[in-house]
Amino acid sequence: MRRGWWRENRFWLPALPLALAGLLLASSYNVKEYWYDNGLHDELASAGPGTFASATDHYDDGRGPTSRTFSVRLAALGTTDVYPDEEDRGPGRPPKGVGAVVVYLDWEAPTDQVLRGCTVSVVDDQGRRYDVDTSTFVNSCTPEGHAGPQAPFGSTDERGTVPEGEERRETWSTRTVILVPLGREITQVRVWWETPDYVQLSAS
Amino acid sequence: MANRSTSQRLGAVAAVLIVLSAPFGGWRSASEQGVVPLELGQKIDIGPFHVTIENVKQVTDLLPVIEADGTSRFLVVKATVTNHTDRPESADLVTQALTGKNTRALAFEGDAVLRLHVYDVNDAVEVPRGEMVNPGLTYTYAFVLRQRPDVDLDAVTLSVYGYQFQEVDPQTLDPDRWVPDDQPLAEGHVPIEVTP
Amino acid sequence: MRARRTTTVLSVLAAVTVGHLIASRAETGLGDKPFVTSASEGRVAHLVYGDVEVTDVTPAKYVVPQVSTELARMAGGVYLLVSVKATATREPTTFRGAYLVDQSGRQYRASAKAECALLVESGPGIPAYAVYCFDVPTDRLAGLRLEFGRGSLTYSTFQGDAIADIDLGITAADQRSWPKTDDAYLAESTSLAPIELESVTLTETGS
Repeated sequence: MRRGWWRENRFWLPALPLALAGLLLASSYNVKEYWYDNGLHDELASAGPGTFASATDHYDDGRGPTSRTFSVRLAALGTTDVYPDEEDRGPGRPPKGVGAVVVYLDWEAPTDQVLRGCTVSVVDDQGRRYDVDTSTFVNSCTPEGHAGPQAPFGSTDERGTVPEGEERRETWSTRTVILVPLGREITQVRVWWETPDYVQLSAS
Repeated sequence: MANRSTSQRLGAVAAVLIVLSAPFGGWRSASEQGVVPLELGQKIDIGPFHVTIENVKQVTDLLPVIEADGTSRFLVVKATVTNHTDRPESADLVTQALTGKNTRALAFEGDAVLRLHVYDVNDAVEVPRGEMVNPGLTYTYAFVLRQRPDVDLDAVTLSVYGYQFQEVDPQTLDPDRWVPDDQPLAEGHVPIEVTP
Repeated sequence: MRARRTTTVLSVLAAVTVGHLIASRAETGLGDKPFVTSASEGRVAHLVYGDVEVTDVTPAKYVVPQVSTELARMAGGVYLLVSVKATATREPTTFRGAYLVDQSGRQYRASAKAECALLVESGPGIPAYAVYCFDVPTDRLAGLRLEFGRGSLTYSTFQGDAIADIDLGITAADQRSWPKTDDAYLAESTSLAPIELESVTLTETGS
C-alpha cells in the first residue's frame, strides 16, 4: 500500500481495535445476567484451614437491599457412613459408589444476622462442585433449632423476627454431610446463599 | 390517464380493483363470525381444543369429590375435550373459555376467588391447574361451579369462547400463545337437569 | 473516480447484505435447534453436562398415588412410565426438560395429575433416578423418543443447548398390545437409588 494511505489512516487504524472492543462490551450485557450471576463467580472472602474468613454479603430480601455479616472457619473435613434414608429420614447409607463427606465449620456472627437457608458445597481438585441437599438440610449454617432471625416474607413483613425459642448465640459450630462420589479429593469448601457471592475455605 | 406513465396507470388500476373487492368481503376482518346458539352435543373448535358439552346438571353434591354442605348447589357442565393440535395445550384454556350469566355463583370454600373446579369424569380426580393435555388425547371433564340455592335455572346462559393463535413476536419475544377472542363462539341457554 | 465510486457502492451493498443475513439468522435464532445426542433404551447418551440413560419403559392404565386414600389416576390414552438415570458430570445440575416426540414430531409432556417426576437433580458423579409418567394417545406409541436435558420446555431454554434424544424402542407390536393393559403402578418420582416399579391391585370405592 502507498505510504500515503498509512499516513491518511493513522488515527482510524488504532481506533479500530478499540471500537471492536467497545462493540463486544456493549453487546455482552447478557453475560452478567445469564452466566456471571448464575454461578459462584464472586468470592467475598477466603481463608486457609483453621482461620476465620469474614464477609459481608449484600443481597435483596422481601423488603429490599440488605446484607449479612459473619465469620466462618473450616475446623475439619471427615467422612461418614451414615446418610439419611430418603423415605423416613432415619439412619441410612449413601448410594453405591458414593461417599459422604462431613464438613465441620465454626461460626461467629451478631445475633441479628439472617443466616438461614445457606448452601455448603465442597469442590474437588478438578473443580467439580458438590452441594449439600438443601431440600433435606434446610439450614446448614445455623445451629439446629436455634437458627435465629428469619427473612421477611414480603414487603410488609418485619425484618429480624426470631421465632419463639429459636434465638441464636454469637458463636456456634455446624456439621454438614454432603454426598461425593468415592475417590474424589476435596480441596475447597464454599459457603453461599445467593449466587454469585460465596466465601471460600481451603482444605489445605 | 392519457399523460401518465405506465407505472402510474397500473397503480390507478390496482387501486380501483382493491376498492371493487370490498363487496366480496375484501375489507371484512377475518375473525368476525356470528355467535351461534349453544347446544348440547355441539362440537365447538375453540382453537387448541374441540369442546363438546354433553350435559349440564345441577346437584347438591358430587361424590366422591364434592360433599353436600346443606345450602349450596353445584352446576356441573360435563364436556369432552380433545387436543387436536400437535403440541401439549393447557387444560386451563378450556376452563377459562367457559363463562356463564345469571349463575348466582359463589367461590368454593377455601378459594379466595370465584373459579371453576374441574374433575376428570373417568377417574374422579381433580385436574391440577396447569395440567397439559397431550395432542390427540380426549378427556371427559366435569366443570363445576358453586351456586347460591336461589338461582333461576331458566335464566342461566353459558358461553364458550375461542382463541386465536399468536406466534412468537420477534420484536418483543413474547412466546407463542393463544389469545382469547372478544366475542364468544357459542352462547345460550341449555337444558339443565336437576338432581335434588 | 468511476472505479472509486463503484468500489464504494459495492462495499456498501456487501455490508448491507451481510448485515441483513446476520439479522435474519438472528431472528430465526428464536427457534435455535438444540444440539442433539442420540441413543436408545439401555444405552447412555453422553451430553456435555451429564449422562442420560433410559432404563425402562412400562405401559400402564392407572397410576396410583403413594397416599393410599387417594384415587387412582386413569390414562386418557395409555400411561408410559419411563425410568431415567441422569448423572451430572461437571456441577450440580437440574434436568428440567423431559418430553416425548412421536414420528411426526408431535410433543408429549409428563402428566401433572399422575404425580410422577417432573424434573430431577443430580450432583456430579452422583446418579439420580426418576420415573416420568406420560399419558399418550394409543395410536402414536411406536417410535416414540424421549428428549431430555437441563433446559426447560416452559421457558424455552432448550434452544442452543445439548439434549439427549433417546429411542424408547416401542415397536408396532407394542403399539397393538400395550393399550390393552389394565396394569396399575404406584407413582414414583425421584431417588438416589434405582427405582423398582410397584404393581398395585385396585379396589373400587364408592360410586
